[in-house]
Amino acid sequence: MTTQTFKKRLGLSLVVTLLLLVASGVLFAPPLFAAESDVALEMNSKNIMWAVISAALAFSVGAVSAGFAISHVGAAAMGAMSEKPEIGGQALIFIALAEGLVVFGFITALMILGKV
Amino acid sequence: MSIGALSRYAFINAKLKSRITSMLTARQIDTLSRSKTLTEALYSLRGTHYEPLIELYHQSGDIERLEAWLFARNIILHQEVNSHLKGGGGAVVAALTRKLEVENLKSVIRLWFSNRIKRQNIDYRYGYLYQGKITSEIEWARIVNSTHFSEIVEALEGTPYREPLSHFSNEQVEQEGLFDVEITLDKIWFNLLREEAKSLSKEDRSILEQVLERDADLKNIINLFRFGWLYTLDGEHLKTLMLEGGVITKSEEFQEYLEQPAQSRSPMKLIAFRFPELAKELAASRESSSENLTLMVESYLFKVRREEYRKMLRGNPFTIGTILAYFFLEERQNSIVRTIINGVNYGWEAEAIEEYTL
Repeated sequence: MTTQTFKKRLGLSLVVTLLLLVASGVLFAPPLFAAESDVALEMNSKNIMWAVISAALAFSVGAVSAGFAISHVGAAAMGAMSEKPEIGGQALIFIALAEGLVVFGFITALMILGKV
Repeated sequence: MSIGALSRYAFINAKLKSRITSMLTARQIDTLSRSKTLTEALYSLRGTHYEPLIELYHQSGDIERLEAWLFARNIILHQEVNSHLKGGGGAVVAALTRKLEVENLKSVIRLWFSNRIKRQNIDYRYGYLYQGKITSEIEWARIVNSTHFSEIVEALEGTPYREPLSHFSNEQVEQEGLFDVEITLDKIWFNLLREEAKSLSKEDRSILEQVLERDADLKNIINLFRFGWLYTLDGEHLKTLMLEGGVITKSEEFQEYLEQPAQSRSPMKLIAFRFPELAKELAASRESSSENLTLMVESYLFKVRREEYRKMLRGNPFTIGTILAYFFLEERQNSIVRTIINGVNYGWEAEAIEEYTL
């Protein structure tokens, strides 16, 4: 690909992105700006409801998965540590990896709630 | 990998894998076999799972006491693993523990035989036997003190050994010895293990069945080699020694082997059919001593088993394979320690001891 074609394509993609942004603004902005109307109010509360459900799901699924993973990783870690206590530090890393799932869920939930 | 397998094996398999990593190393075994005295050998086991042997030897000065401790340790390890397993896995481990019960039962019946049939003094030997519960409730003292073989059978009421042993009469045992009784006992535990394999999950069942099929072939080839070729037992008798399973007993070569006159049999065709590498090794060997040839066969077959178990340890960690491999390695390690402490005690050279530790 020559530099000229690359520049052309870059320009074109920038224009398309800009158009898409404007189009989405036109499509989705009215309900937000027309908060006074009943229809807009109803749509807004629906959006909030789904956002809250998504946040709850993100957190709860993350927490349940972490619990499940920790129960098994923890059991294996306990089994190994009962024979070799010196590997406790390494075992903790694996438990922390499983724990990470709930942290991801929590951050995702916070991000969703931040948009409401 | 199923969730069930994960919950079932996460704890126990991690525990056993840790134990495997703290087993005796090749260097420790070498130091052990190069010891000049038994005390030196035992002190080289300091810091290992075998450390209690040092104290035990100091207290008793008795090597047979050490062997009894090794046997009891093996039973305790089996029972401990079993306590962490539920369902099919637990039943299979219990069936594996039965092998140790059968070994103990054979020793007890041998004592009874020495006492009642050969009229030997057994008082000092009885103390070395394991007298606790292994899997079934067996009154060991009642067996040793039986006056008749039928009393032994009665003492085994409520165990799976009673019915098959009830086919033996006192006269038969007196005249023919315990060889067939012992073979029957071996077949009982092997068949019980095969039965228990059916209660496992699909993946575990496939692993265990593969192990049993291979073990049946290995045991059968050793029996055909030892009893069919070296001791020239007749075909019919030889057939009763065979374990169920494997491919050897279903082969045409096996039928041909049995039909041949005992004096002119050669196990080479059978060995070549199932273990071609071993057949080549035997053909290339200039060994003529039957004992050394048997050792060669056993050594080769042991290597086959070891390789299979190593594969299991490298494979899926959430299967019964880890447990089977652990028992195999633990049994092997016990056997090595037993052989070395006996060899050192009798003043054998390290090289001679190593030959027997494979």
